Amino acid sequence: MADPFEALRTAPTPIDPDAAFAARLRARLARALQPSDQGELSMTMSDTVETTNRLRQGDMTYVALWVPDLKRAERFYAEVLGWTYQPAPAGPASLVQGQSMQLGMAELSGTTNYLRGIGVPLPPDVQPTAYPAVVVDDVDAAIRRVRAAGGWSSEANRQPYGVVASCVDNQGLAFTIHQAPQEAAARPPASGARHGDLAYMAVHVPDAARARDFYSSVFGVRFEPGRAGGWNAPDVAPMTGVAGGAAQPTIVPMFRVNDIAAAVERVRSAGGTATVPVHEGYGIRSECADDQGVRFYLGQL
Amino acid sequence: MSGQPQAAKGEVAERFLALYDSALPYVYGYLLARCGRPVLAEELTSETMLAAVDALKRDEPPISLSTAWLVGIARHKLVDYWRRLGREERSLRTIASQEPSEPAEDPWDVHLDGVRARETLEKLAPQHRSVLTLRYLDDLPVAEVADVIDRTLHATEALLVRARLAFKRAYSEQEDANCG
Repeated sequence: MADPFEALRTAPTPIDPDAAFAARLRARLARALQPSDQGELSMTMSDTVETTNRLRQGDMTYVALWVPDLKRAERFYAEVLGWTYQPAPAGPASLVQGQSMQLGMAELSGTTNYLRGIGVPLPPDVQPTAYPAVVVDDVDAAIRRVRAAGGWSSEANRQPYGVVASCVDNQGLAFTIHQAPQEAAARPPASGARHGDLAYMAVHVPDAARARDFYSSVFGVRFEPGRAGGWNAPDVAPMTGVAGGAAQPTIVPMFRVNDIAAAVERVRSAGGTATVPVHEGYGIRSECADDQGVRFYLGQL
Repeated sequence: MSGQPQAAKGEVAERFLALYDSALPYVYGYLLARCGRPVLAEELTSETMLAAVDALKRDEPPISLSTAWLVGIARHKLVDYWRRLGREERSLRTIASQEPSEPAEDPWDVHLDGVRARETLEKLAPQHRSVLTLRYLDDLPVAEVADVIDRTLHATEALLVRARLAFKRAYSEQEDANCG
C-alpha cells in the first residue's frame, strides 16, 4: 500500500514576493554587506526587530467602541480610565488620546444607520460592541475569502490611510478589513502597554467554533483552545478570544489598569457595575458594565 | 566562498546580491508553501537573508553561494519559528499529557486531498507540523529530519509516528465537519 503522506510532497516552486518588500530587503542586505569595523551585527539584529514589529494580517489598526450615548460614554470612561478625547473627523464620534493604538468611540445608532445606508446588511438589533479594523495583506483576496466563508463584504474602498472594505461575519458581527500602506505604523502591543489601553478583544458569538473557522479562513490566524469551549488567537495584536453561547454577537473589550481595586471603585462610583476582581493566569480581571449597560472588562495585567 | 577565499569584500557583496536576485523567489516560494502566510513568509525570508549575510561575513566553513544553501537556511529558520511557537504553546498548556507515550499506528489507506491536507497541517501543533513538513513536503530522509530538528533518530521516528496520528485525527475530523 502506498503511503498516503507521499501526496504531501511539494516541489520547489518559485514565487515572486511583493516587489516593494524585495527592494527593501535588498537595500537592507546591501547595507549589511558594506565593510564596516563596527555595528554590523547590531545593524542586522535591529533590522530583524523592525521586521517582526510590522503589522501582520489579523492585527488591528483601529478599534471603535459603538456606544448608545457618546457624551455619556465620554464622561464615564474619562472618570474610570482617565481618557481624554478629540473629535473624530466624521460623524458623532471621538478619538481617545494617548492610547497605544488608535481607539475611537462612535454613537451606535448613527453609525449603524450610516452603514445600513451604504448597504451593509447588519442584523436588526445591533448590540453595543467594539468594531475593529483588521489588517489584511491583500484586500481583494480578503474580500473573496470573507464571501467564500459565508460573510458579507462591500467592494474595496480606497482611503488616504489604505484600502478598506466593510464586512459582516457569518453570525452578524460587523468589522472592517484594512490593507494598510507599507510604511504603516508598527503593530499595537499584544495586551496594551499603559493604564487605560485596549488590552484584549473578547468576541462573543452564538457559535465559537463557527467564528474560529470563519476568522481563521479569512485572516489565516492561528487559534488554540481556550476555556469553556472558547478559542484564543494569541498571535494577533491586540490579543483576541472567541466565546460561544451569546444570544447576539458582540465584541467586549478589556482595558488595562494599574490598580484594579481602585478602578473597580471608580466604575461603581461613576454609575457602572463591576464584579469582584478575580485572579486569572494572565492577571486580575473584573467584568464590568458602564452606566449605559455596555459591557467591558478591566484587567490588571 | 568556494574557491575564492581571498575575494575582495566588494566582490562578495556583489555576488551575494546577484544570488539574492535569482534565488529570492525560490526562498520565498519555499517558505510561503510551508507556512501559508505571506507576511510570515516575508519575515522568515528576511531572517534567512540576514543570517546568510552574517554567515558570509564569518565564512566558516567556506560557503558555496547557491540557491540550495539559502533554502537550507530558510528550512532552519522555519523550524526555529515552529520551535518558538511550540515553546509558547507549551507554556500555556502541557502537550505531553495529551500525547500517548507508546502510540500504535494503524495502516491508513486514503488518498489525501491536497488543499485539505494543507489546512490540516496548519492546525497541528508546531512540532508535528514541523516534522511532517520536513519528512514529506521536503522529502528529507528521517536521519536528515533528525539533524535539522536536532533530535536523535529514535526520538524523531517516535515524533513522526505521533505527528502522523495527530494528522490522521485532524484530517478525519475535518472530513466529518465538512460532511456535517
